[in-house]
Amino acid sequence: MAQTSEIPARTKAAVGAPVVEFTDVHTKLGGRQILDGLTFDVRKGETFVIIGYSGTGKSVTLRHLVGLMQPDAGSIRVENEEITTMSGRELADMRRKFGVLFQSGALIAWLTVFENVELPLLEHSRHSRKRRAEIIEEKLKLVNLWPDKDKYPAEISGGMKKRAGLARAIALDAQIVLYDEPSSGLDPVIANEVDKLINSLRDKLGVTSIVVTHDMESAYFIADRIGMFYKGRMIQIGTPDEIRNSTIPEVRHFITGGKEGALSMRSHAAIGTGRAPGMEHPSMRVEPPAAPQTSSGDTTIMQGFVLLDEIPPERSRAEQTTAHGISGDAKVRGTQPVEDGEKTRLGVASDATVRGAQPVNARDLEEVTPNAPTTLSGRQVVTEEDDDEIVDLSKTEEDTQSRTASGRYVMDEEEPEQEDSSIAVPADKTAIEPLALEPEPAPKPVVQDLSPEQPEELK
Amino acid sequence: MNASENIWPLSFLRTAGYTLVMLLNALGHVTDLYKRSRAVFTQMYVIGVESLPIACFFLMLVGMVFALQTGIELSRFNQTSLVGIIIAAGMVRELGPWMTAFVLVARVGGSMAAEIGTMKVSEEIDALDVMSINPVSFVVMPRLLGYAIMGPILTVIATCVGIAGGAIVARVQLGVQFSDFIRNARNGVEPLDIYWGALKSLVFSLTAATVACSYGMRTSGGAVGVGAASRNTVVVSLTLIVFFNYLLTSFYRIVKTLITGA
Repeated sequence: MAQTSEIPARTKAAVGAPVVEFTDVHTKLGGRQILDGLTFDVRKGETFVIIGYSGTGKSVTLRHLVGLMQPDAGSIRVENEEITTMSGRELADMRRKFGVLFQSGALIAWLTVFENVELPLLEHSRHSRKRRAEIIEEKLKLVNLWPDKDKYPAEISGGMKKRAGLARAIALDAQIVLYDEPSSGLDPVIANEVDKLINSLRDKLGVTSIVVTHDMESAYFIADRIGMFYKGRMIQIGTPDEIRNSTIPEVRHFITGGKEGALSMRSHAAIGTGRAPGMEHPSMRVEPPAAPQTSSGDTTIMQGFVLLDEIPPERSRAEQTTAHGISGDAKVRGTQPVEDGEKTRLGVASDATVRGAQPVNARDLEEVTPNAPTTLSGRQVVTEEDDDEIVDLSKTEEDTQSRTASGRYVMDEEEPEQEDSSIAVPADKTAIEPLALEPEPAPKPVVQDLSPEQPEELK
Repeated sequence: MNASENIWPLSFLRTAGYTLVMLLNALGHVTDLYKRSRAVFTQMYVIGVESLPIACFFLMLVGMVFALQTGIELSRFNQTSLVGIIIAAGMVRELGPWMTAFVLVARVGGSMAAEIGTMKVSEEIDALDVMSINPVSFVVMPRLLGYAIMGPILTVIATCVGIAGGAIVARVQLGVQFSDFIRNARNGVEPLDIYWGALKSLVFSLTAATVACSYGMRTSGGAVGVGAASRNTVVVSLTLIVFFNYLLTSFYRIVKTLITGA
């Protein structure tokens, strides 16, 4: 049995029995395995944050939880009731336990903010008009949207939509609230206020929250426990501190935004077994970084750097890829001389199979400084940060230099090393304060400033 | 995507099945009318009242052209005064329901699919689901009902305007007196024609609304998907309307034969 993560002291009293349990859930979509043995539980009164790379199935997990999608196999239980076998009517009843905040707020466009919040009350309660108005006022004041109650969704900003969506989600006093990327698309101040709101709901109303987010700052601030979603399952579940100090490369890579962790985030690296501290279930496995070898002895790699034999810099990209057997979606991003002069690192931007290449491992990749500018025969080449910018080495020097002059490929030469700045909880987030949301102004018409200072390409 | 989804007969059957089930589901939710009345009235206004000017203008021109073309031919036999019979019968039985349906599909059908499609891709439909609000009851039924009520009403009004347009052309350009035109028009139209025209309009309206809601509810793929839903709604609706028009006209002939014994 995997080690069980400890519940933080601040919520220990509030956390009880599991209210949501995923057990060995498998789902395939469009031929792709989205959930692959997903197992985790969420306990009553806690805020459980799911983190993970984009497009890996986090939102799909939430959709399974409210019955919008059905798994191919496995069990999903909500308050000890199996929902995968529920009929439509039973699902409808079960869903009333949930409040869901969608990424976009998902407000009904032809209803005002007030009417949107009123909608679940109209449908599922027998309150009088006066009582409904009181509840709506209470909820809208909670998210500081009462002054904007008569506006339509098209007349309010993204942050206001999310807050209105949250007010609607809690209108029926749902005991389990799901948040799908609550802070995405919001400015830091509003995102911070939404985070405080989530904490406030937990502390004041005792709601169980399940939050899907990419925002680690937010995750550390609101979470009682964090689960790292990777390749269709949780590879680590732990307290914010356990996640912050995780030794699992994928987790480190994610929480540091690629500055640590060594392994390419979408790497196919790997297949090993083991368990990490904080893991909850025996089905979880740690996948240590190592490039997988195909049956033919080739190496599969996604978006990273590989060590190859020295490549004459004057050879074109096509010649290089051909010479080194890079197939598939490989795109050469540049070369980087190695100190000992024996090897050349060749970057690939996406899926690639490299015949006979040396496996990528964490140490090798750590030696490559992603942000450092790389010069080869006087040409500026892209680094790992520029996913979309592929340097064609066959271009003339003049071409490349003109690009450099436009600023597209120039990297900061001396970017200061940041020591986990992305995971530090800012001082202003250490205390939960009563909500003091400033009214957010309605969006103003965007007028593009075409001042002479702007680069020519933006005009 | 499953390979079988690309086989068009299967895809067609799946689409048809979904659409039919959705239609029945929506009709079953007419009982929710008491709490959807505002939405139904809104749709009636959007579909009927707002479409009235363009439908009338369109049908008036159709009536005028129809009268002119008919008059040209009848004048060869010195029977121009009979133009009223042909205009009234043609407009009531065919052109009125048909052309009004076309106007409504162009003005309402595509935008209805786009509106629902946008709701789908922006998770509003999912939000209704998780609030345990049936999207068919909340979104589809009011539109279907609004369309089904206003389609025939609009058809009757627009057809009258079309006949009036024909009368004006007959008077001004063909020299047929209004009294002659009206007398002949009355002779040309039987009660069955009016009922059948209204029935046609009802079928066309239900068809267009169902197709629009079906494509809207199955929208995926963001803005491109919304555009495709709108486009497909117009194409499929018009095709089905033409097809159902032929079927209903054939039935009309059978029914009329049974009634008159001719």
